[in-house]
Amino acid sequence: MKQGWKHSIAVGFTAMALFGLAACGSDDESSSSDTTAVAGGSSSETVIVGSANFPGNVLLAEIYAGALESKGVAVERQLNIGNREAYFAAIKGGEIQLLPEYSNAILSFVTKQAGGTVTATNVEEQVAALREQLPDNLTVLDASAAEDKDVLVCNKETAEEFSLEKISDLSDVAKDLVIGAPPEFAERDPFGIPGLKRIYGLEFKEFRPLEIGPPIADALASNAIQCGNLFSAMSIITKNGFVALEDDKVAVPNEAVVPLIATDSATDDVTATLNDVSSKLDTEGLKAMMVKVEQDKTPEADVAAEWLAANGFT
Amino acid sequence: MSEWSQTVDWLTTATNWTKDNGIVDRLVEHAGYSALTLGIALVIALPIGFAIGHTGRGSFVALNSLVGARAIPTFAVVVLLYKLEPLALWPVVVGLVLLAVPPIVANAAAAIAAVDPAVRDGARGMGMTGWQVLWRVELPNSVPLILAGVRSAATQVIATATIAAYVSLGGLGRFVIDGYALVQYEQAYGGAVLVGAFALIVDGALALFQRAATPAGLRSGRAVPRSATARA
Amino acid sequence: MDRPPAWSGAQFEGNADVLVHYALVHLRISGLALGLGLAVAVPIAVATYRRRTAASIVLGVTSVAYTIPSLALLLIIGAAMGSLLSDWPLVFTLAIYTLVILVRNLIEGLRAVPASSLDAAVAMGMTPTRRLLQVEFPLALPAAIAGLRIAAVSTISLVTVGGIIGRGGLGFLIQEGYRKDNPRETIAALVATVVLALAADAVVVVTGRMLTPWERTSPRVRRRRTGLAGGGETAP
Repeated sequence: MKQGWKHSIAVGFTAMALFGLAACGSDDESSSSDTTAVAGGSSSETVIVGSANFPGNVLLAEIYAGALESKGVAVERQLNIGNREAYFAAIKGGEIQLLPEYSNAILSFVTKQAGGTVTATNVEEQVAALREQLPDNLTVLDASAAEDKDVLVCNKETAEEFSLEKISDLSDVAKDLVIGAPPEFAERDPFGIPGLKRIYGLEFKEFRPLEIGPPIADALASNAIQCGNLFSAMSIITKNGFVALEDDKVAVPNEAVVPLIATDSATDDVTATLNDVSSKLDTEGLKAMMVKVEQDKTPEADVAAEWLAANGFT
Repeated sequence: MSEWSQTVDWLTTATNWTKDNGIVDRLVEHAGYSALTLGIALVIALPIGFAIGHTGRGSFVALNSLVGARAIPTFAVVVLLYKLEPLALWPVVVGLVLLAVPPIVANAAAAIAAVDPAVRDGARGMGMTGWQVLWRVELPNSVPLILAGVRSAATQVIATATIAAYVSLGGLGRFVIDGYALVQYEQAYGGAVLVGAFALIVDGALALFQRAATPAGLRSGRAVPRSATARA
Repeated sequence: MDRPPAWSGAQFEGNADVLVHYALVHLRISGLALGLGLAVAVPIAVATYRRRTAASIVLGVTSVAYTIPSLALLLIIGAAMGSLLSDWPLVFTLAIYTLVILVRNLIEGLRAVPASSLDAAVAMGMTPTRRLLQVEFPLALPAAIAGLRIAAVSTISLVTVGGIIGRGGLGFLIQEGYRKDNPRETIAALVATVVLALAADAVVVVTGRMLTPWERTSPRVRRRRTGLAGGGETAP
């Protein structure tokens, strides 16, 4: 027994040490490389590419990242960060340097933060306003012709029952319909409860907060909600026969895909490459890629690699 | 942090409590989900626990299933079941019941099994049948430990019921999810504080109940088996 | 370029390497959280178990921390650390929960050491430190092991919460399956999480048995003692 306690403690420490070693021994890119990234960039040339936490944005981020890598730029990825508040804070604070954005959405976001109102009515104006409104350490590069915008969709039975083709068709019937959209929809203008009320005079029977994507799609398909907020490039719209209502009063002018980038990272090479990507991206191509990501469950990285190869980047 | 003073403001503004879908409404929903879950969990867990404790059989399988059940991330269960019937309540209840059953089964079984064999033998010697032994001897002696399991389950369920908000239902989790999405962190932090406070109050109430329900002879702080609490 | 393997397709086949990769990440996060929690719990328990007020305060504070929903605590800690772009907010969040469980168990375990054993130690002329190391710790081990079991299982389950910010080991796969409408991915990650937890539980149990040779008795007594009673729990 005299020897016993020393033995026990030694065994105990060994066991814990082994457990710790086994746990630490695993190689993980996403966890180990970002500790240097958090410190403000591992080297001045490494571009850390971030993304929002939905597949459409992850796909675009993979395209940007792959294009830069094909031109010899050192790239790290920090994908699926969260919603716009989270990833904008990350790029503003220098933890990431590049991410794919959408012209109207990001403009509304920074304008609202500054307390102003959006006056831009087309992509050129949006980009100009962005370059003015963004903090000095951030800028946007050329916008793409590709768009991925918020759309109001209704499920097939509702669209047929009320002959819905455009958003203004909802003006009389919205009060009997339940709409599903992310929580921020409750306060958003133009594309939200207050915005739709202001522009279209709509008032829905009930608002159910749900994440954009399969949660809303499933609820639409089961008719737990009749209308919902999805993104225009999502293949689940056509797959389920949902009807995307036309924004006839143009609540949202354009949602062009545009790279949001740290000014210091926008070197000539990087800028040229990303502008090249933007010029080659288009909405149809984006939709085709989303089919692969959403229906075939092909990893975004693979779908991006395919597109890059087909468009002369690798 | 100014966010904390904003949180205090949010919590102390009366209209936040009384308005539609305000704190009171969400608290009632949250309590409802928790109570429903615990009720169902008790109906499932107590008989299983008693059977295991009384017969001494099946404990290996039961214990390992309990460990496994405790490990199931509730979120994963809820989102999988959500697909079957979007916006329904039962996916959340199923997820929460999975959380609540293990501590109750474990404690019920341990409590029954821990009844002093001398007491049990005495009862048998008095001519009681197996059932009578269970009802008249084992159960009353087990109440404190069973209640401890219920307390543990209740705390976990209340904390985890915030998950209902993730699938568009109500409860205090609504403040956490919406607060974060709307960048109104006073709401998010306020919701978290409310959940914690509610859990503590319920835990305290159950502790008092536990004391009251402990037969006087057991009340004087006798050593209780291995203590632990768990959450998932 | 070293990228983590990505889940491909709506089926299980071909994705085993993805599960293994994220399981290892999962273990790393869990191990760090448990180690950290344990490292902090031991000194706190030792410092307070003899002092009623200090112990009450510690137990009270830890109870409160325990009731905060995991997602909220993660976001709070992330905000305090200034960044959610690493695994550390999650590690610290889970370390706190581990701490809560272990402090409670250690304090109770140390307090439950029979007075007779302590008296014998004093009579043998042991200094307080030797008493602690040679008598109190070993006798408190079963309570500590029981707590460590619960902490391990609970931590492994909670790591998945990190999926909401695109991290969390297997939690990332659970979330990805949710966002991309790939239930098989979610199910596979869920099962893997449970398997990891069962394995961790077994490791702790076996380590506990190795460390407490004096508890090795006949199977009948062991079944009564460590089987059901070891799995039971109380809340203070």
